[in-house]
Amino acid sequence: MASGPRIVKKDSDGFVEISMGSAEKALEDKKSAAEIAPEEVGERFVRGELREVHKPKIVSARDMPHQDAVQAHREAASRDILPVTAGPQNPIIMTQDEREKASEMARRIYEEKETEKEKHPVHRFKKLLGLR
Amino acid sequence: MAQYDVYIDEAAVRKAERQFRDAAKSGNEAMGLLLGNVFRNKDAEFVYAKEYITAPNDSTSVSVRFTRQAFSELSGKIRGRGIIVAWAHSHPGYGCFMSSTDLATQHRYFPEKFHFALVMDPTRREGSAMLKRAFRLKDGGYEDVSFAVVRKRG
Repeated sequence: MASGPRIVKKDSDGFVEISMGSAEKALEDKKSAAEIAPEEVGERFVRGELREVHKPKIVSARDMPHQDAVQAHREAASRDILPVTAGPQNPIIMTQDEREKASEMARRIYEEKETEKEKHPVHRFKKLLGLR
Repeated sequence: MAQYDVYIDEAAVRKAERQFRDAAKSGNEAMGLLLGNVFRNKDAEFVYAKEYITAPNDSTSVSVRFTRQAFSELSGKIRGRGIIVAWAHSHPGYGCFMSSTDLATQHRYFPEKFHFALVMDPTRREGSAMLKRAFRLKDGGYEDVSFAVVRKRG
């Protein structure tokens, strides 16, 4: 029997299960979804405030030749700026030395940031009150 | 239609961030698993990662794995709480990307279409949040996946 969208079920953790239309179509949808992911697939959606949203952006490095993209990433890693990706077809491979170098640099930067933070009067006050 | 490929519960993200930040203090990587399910809204499938679990890590500044003992602990935590939809690990200081080792791990343990990898760099920020990216396998390589962190209303 055909019907319009309606709420089927609402559970305690904020999910709402909805029916989008006729029973036949729902079964058909569920069948095709099950082929993609056999685990629990239903006509549900997530409700809530979205934060830290990220959608992949096309950055110049994506269109760069692989070698250039890898070089750009390495430079970015050692300068503590946002990384670039070489794109799905060109996974970046860093050598062990490069990762250790980048990691060492990050540790230094992190320590500097922590020291800077600890100098802040608010931090000292919190420490005094035993809040940190 | 789902707007994002992946939704992650805010509490799960914060739990992972705390672990990664603590490990980064000693310069080490850290890892854990995201539990959740695959959902469908109209014609779009999406993954909702509801919970973050972890167990003792064996890690260095450039590698991380679960200890042998961790697996029994993990299996107890997973039971009845959904399926493993992703693994999360940190790259302290070298940004968010999939290394060749990460890709091998993804191929071996997380090959399903809905599986993704969440990578965070606890030493870098994006706005006020820790830098993070989600990836999944695609055509022999990997792709950047859209995601949103969800704070439940009410």
